[in-house]
Amino acid sequence: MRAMQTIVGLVAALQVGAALADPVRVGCLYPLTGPGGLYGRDSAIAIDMALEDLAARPDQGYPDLDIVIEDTRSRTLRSLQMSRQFIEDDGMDFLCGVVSSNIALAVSEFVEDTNVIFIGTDHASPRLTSTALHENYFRVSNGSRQSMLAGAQYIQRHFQSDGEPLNIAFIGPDYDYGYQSWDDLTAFLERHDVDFNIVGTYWPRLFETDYSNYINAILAQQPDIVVNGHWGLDLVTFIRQANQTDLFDQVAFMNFDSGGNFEVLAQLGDDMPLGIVLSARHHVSWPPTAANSQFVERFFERANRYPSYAAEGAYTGIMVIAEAVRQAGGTDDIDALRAALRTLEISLPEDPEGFRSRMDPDHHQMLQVQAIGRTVPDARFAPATIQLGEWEVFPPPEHWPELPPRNE
Amino acid sequence: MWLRLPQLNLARRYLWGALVAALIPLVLISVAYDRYSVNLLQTLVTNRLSSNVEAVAARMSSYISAHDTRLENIADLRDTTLFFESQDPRIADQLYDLLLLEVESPDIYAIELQGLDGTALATVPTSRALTRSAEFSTLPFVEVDGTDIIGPALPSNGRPGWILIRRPVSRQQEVIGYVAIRSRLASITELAGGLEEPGVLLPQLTVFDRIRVTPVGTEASEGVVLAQSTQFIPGWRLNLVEGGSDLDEPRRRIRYLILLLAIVSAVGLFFLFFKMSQRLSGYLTPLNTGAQAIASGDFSVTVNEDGPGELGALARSYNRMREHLEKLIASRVDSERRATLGDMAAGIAHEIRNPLTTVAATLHGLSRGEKDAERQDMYQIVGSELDRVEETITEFVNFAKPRAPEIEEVLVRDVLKSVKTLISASAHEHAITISVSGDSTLRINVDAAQLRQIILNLSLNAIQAMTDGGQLRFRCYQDEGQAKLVVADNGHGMDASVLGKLFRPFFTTRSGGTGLGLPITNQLVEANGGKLHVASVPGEGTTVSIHFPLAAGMRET
Repeated sequence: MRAMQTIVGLVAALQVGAALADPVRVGCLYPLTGPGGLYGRDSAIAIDMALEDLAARPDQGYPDLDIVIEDTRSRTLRSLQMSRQFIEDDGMDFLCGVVSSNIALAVSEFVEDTNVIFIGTDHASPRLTSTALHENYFRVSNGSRQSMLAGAQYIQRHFQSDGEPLNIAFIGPDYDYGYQSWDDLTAFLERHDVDFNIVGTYWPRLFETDYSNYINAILAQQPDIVVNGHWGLDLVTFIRQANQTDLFDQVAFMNFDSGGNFEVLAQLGDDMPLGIVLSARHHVSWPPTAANSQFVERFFERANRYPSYAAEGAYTGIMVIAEAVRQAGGTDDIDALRAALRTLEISLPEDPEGFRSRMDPDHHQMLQVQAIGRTVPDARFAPATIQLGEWEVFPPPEHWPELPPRNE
Repeated sequence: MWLRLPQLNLARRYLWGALVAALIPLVLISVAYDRYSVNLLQTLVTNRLSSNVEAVAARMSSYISAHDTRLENIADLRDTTLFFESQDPRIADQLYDLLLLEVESPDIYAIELQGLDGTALATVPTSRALTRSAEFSTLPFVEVDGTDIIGPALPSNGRPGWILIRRPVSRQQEVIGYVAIRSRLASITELAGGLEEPGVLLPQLTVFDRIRVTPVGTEASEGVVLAQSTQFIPGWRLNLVEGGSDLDEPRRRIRYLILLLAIVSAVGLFFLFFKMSQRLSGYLTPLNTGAQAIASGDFSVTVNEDGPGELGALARSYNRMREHLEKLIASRVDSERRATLGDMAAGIAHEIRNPLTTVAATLHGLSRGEKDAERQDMYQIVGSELDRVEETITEFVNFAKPRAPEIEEVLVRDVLKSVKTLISASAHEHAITISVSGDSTLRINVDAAQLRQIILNLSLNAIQAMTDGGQLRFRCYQDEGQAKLVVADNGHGMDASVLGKLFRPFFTTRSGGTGLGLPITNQLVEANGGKLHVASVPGEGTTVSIHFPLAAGMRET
């Protein structure tokens, strides 16, 4: 059965051009059920918030948006079939969303040969903005490469010591997102002259439920640092199982891309170890700006829960689409849309004071600030009892960093 | 011999023998238990693990078979055959979707459609196409029932390991290509994850004894194999190797603990037997010493009666035996001595008294005819001296051959009064007061004359001890079922050395004394069934207590 959610944003748009008369059709692909379903449900709420914000600015030339959200159930073929339907049958102007990098790669490959632009909001593999990049793909939230760049800088700042090389182990999900994260981290550590040994790389399958053999293997290697590349329930499960060992007493534990996601903090509650190093693409407690606080509170009013980072990604996706269409004067000229997207700048809830998210024109990757923190007790956002604190902020580089691809 | 062992008594020999008899089985049992437990543990572990390893190997084989079935279905598709026939690198949409559905499984990285030379003509998904490396051709290659199993390729370059399972695609019996699944290596090895005991047991997938993989899909190092499966595909085994010293450590600890307990038991037994030997010897040696002393005529050696059980009873029996023997022999000697002394005294009396009688008669005759006053005085002196000799002879004869008492019931009060009367003049002369107190009805069964002599002797001694006057007290009363007579003075008393010799015949502290008064008194007391005890403090006086049996009527009261 097709799970579909349709949201129509009617903006009392100014008649900037005839093209704006028809609503812009956006097909969104999110898991609404099954693994990662919370990400999709949060995204749907945030999309509604974005439409509300657009409607509140009737005089700024934003288009009407007709948004359809389909439940991918985190399945690649299902996502691909929906993408075909969105484009071939429904005549969508944009695709957006997708949580899994694997699915995003399949969708992006399909979209390459169409006249539809795919706005990635949640997946993070840098392959999509490098070796698999094409003109119809744009990503509007920080990818794992930016997270790993900030992570490497964090390690250099805090752990590079006295001549002894750091022993680093990595464990991440066994798919492209995990591989790319690890490739990028090691490359950035080398670029930042961090002296390190790799004592182990481990690849449990995505949505694994038993990490005990992997945790034992990590403990046997006695690393100084364990960098974890899991997200969502995988990370929650891993931390719960690692809590049964002395892993968190033995090593410095880090997750730079998604560990600080509110979903993880909320699910773990008091089980979240204190003092571990985490980050995410959006935080409910950072930056301490009015825009971010309003976003978080508005979301809470609608959902009676605080948002995971997927919400802000989806919100961004819709705002970016609206802004690009506004700048291109409609959807008829796809080249104009691409040009608008390549140079797009936008203020988002996750931007700290004085900073605006901006698109890297060569890699179609939004450049945003990455903030890394340590877990500290903080009960302001129930049911989480632990939040990130002791923040360290890493502004993005001028250009999205290129790294040579590895042979496989 | 440079080392001389002390000679062991019988008790110690028995104890040491028992010790050796206890230690030898202890050592033998400890060694046998150690060997048995080690072998048992190894046997149990090996048997249990072997069956578990076989079970997991069977699941690994099933995993490969499941992929093989998938491949067979794909190879039999018409679209697959068409792909190889058309030479077009594009895959038909239906086939692509089917392959994409297959690679939804997290166990499958990609599905490849390969040419006859093994080159991937198409990969689903395309993003997972491999960049071939030189090592690809060096991977282990096994063919099982038409299915090729290539790998495992170990993790390298920051990527996990994999294996390739492929089947040929045929058209009219001719192979035109291959369809291959690139499977996640860890999906096979994780099946053995349940066998892992950190630090103890580590399962390893072993391929041709040169590639070893841990349960998490990483390369493993060679280890001591504890259990091994059969080959579930040619060259592929599951081994269970020692994962560290965590197993040895507790096993070694248990063995050391048993050894330590055996040593502690041996030392404890040694100490126990040593102490028992010492204690037993502590009781037996004095008995032996006492027995030797008795054999040499020394009855003064007593032994401690605090020994446990039969040893205490033996010591008490020994002491009773020693006392009885001592009394028996003393009594016998005393009887013989008295008999001898009596005979000698009778002889002496006879031989001395006869001449003395002659001398006395002669002297009496001479003194009657003597006019000279001075000579009369000299005859008087000689006469009195002759009387003294007669008295001494009489006392000596009485001591040496006392008269047998004539027992009768005597009222003690009467005896004390008569003695008081007898000595009152002498006492008055020495400024001594006499008091009599006690039970006026006290009666005892004694020889009345001998009791009077006893009291008189003691009274005279007391008067002589109170040269500066004093008080002489007679008391009589019942004391613990006996009659007690006390003669006490507050004269100059005696020291311990004098007290110790008091009953020796002829021992005296007075010039002119015969030294027979107290021995005779004591003899008379004993002859009448009494017991005499003297207590004296120099400068304070002397108290003589005599216990006699009560008269029959008195005992009833």
